[in-house]
Amino acid sequence: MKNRLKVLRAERDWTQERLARELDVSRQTVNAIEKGKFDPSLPLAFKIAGLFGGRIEDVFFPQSE
Amino acid sequence: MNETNTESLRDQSWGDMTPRDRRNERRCILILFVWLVAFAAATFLIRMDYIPTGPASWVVSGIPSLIALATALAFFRFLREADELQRAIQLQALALALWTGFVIWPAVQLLEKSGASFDFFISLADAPILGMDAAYIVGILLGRSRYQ
Repeated sequence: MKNRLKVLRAERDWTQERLARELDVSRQTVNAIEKGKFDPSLPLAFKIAGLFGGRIEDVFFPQSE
Repeated sequence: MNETNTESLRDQSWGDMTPRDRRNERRCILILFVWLVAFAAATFLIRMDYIPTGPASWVVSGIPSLIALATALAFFRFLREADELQRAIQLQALALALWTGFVIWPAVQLLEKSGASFDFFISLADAPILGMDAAYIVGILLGRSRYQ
């Protein structure tokens, strides 16, 4: 699964640590999600989408797209 | 301390584990250390015959087991409250440890039945648990490097 997390984070000028704190996860988790190495759970995906004021499909999308 | 420095320190403290995970991990390590000391002390007391055989030796033998139970409960709490990537890494490490034990244990049984013995620093019978411990540590290191 791909995502726009890095772009959304950059738009707000947030560090990975700042985003990790907002989401109550580790910086390593944010980094792994951004790099597409780790797919978040549905609750975390909803939390990420909610934090950026959008829907899950605005942040995450399938590899094929 | 100004706001920027406070923010910077908070960022550093977040790192590869959340503060909650780090606190829970520290608790596990501390109880594990207490268990290690209790186990070594109990082994020493029993081997040197400082404790008479009977109820007193049962109590001394039981204390490390109670501490081991506390270690298990602390580890369950760590897993339950862990960040989800941390939980995935732990799951992979635990699976690696389990399957290492599953491979080594029957091999040791067969070796012992064939008359092989090894009793230097450790005995052959200790191999499965030591192999599982080593596999767990390797699993954690592999998991952490994989998701860097």
